[in-house]
Amino acid sequence: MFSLAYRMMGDTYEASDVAQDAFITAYRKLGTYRGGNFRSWLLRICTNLCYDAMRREKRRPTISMDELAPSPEEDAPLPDPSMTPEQIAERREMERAVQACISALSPDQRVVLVLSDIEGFDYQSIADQLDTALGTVKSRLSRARASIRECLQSVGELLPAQFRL
Amino acid sequence: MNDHDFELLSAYLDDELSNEERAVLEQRLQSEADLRRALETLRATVSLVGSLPLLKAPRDFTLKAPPLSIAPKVRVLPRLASLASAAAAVLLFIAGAGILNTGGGTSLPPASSVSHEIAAMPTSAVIAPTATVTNTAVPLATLPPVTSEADNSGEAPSQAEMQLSMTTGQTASDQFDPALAAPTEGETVMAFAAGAVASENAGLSDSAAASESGGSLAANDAPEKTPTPAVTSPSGFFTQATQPPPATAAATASPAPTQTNTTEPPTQAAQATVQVEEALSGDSNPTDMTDQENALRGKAPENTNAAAGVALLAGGVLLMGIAIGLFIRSRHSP
Repeated sequence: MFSLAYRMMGDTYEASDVAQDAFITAYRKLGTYRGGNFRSWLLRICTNLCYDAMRREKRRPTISMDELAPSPEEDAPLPDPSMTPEQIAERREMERAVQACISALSPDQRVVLVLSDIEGFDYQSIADQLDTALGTVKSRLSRARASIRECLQSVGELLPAQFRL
Repeated sequence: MNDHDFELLSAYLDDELSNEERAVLEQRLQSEADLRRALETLRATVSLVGSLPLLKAPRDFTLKAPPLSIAPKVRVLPRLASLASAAAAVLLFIAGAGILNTGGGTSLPPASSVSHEIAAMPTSAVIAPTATVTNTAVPLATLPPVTSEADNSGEAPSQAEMQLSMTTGQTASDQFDPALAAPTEGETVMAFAAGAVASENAGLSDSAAASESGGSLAANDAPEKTPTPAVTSPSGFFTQATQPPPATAAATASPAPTQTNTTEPPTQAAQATVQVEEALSGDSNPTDMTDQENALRGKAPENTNAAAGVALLAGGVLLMGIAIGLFIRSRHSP
């Protein structure tokens, strides 16, 4: 839940607040759960709260305190324990660049990209969670991926060689 | 390469294309190098995004310790205030109801003020020139049974049982006793009869006119018979008897102000009993008496008392509302 919120919000504190609110909302609305995938139900609540938070942020821009906040990526588990410190640093750099590109997307594209490429939901599940058409999900996802590709290509020189597109 | 091609490549990576679409796209991928390169970059992009690690929450959102239980406070003060307000409201109700029921009889203004008010009335009494009245105003509440003792100088007529008939209107004129008109020197007694003429009586205006002209009794046919100066008022009249009628009026029903001249001690011979009840046995009735009193005392005192009663009742209602509000608040507050 926090991971989804962080990918959506791009800020540790806001992601924490959204995740906590999502748990509280889920507890209160537990009676409305009608079966199905409980994880999808929880992430749907979190997604809606992320939407609300992003709308508030759009109306009232805030200065990010992310520099002061501990990056959750620092505490992320290593994909390979045998990685050298240099490789770990390069990977952290790539992760920050991808997160920056994701944060640059519009909320609609961001949600679809995170739910699909990070959380691993199929199109139909995303369409159900977002109450949108399947074609809409498909088009938003393609545009989001295109934007991410362009974003990563623009910063390609800063990325490690193995991560350059 | 357009957006549609990119959408097909994206869906192809996710295996979201139909068999026909996949077959068409694969044929194009074999023939179009740009499309193949775009597919590779797109796959690398999705791989990079998907390689982002699952982040750990910076803190635990679960509460391990049970929440502190807050002991409910017993709020004594609001309940005491509620009870006190209710008690005060009941007292105010009782006081207000008592004032309204008594009609302000227990708080009559002093007689002096009544006399001043009478004098200030438009058709107020015209004091006869020979009348010497000393105002010994006594509050009515402190008055004994109305006993008008007119102290004579001793020269009063011997058996001058001056029974002042305090009657109304025509009754006064019809039952006028010429003996009352006997001019005497000496102390004058002005006995005020409360149960007097109704103001709408035509004879009253005549009598008032007569009294203004000659200062006689209030009666149509009385002026020539009554040299005794009299004071009349629209609602009552003063009878000034030169004879000392120690008027002992059993006037518990008529708390009439008495103005006596007590320069000399009373003589037993000269006692005139003023019995208001007998006088009222004619045309007058208790309601007329009440109206008379009201007219003489003016509406202000009773109105004031009524207003006080209403104010007390209103205060009682307000306090009762406060009491109920405090009670409800004390019940609903944690």
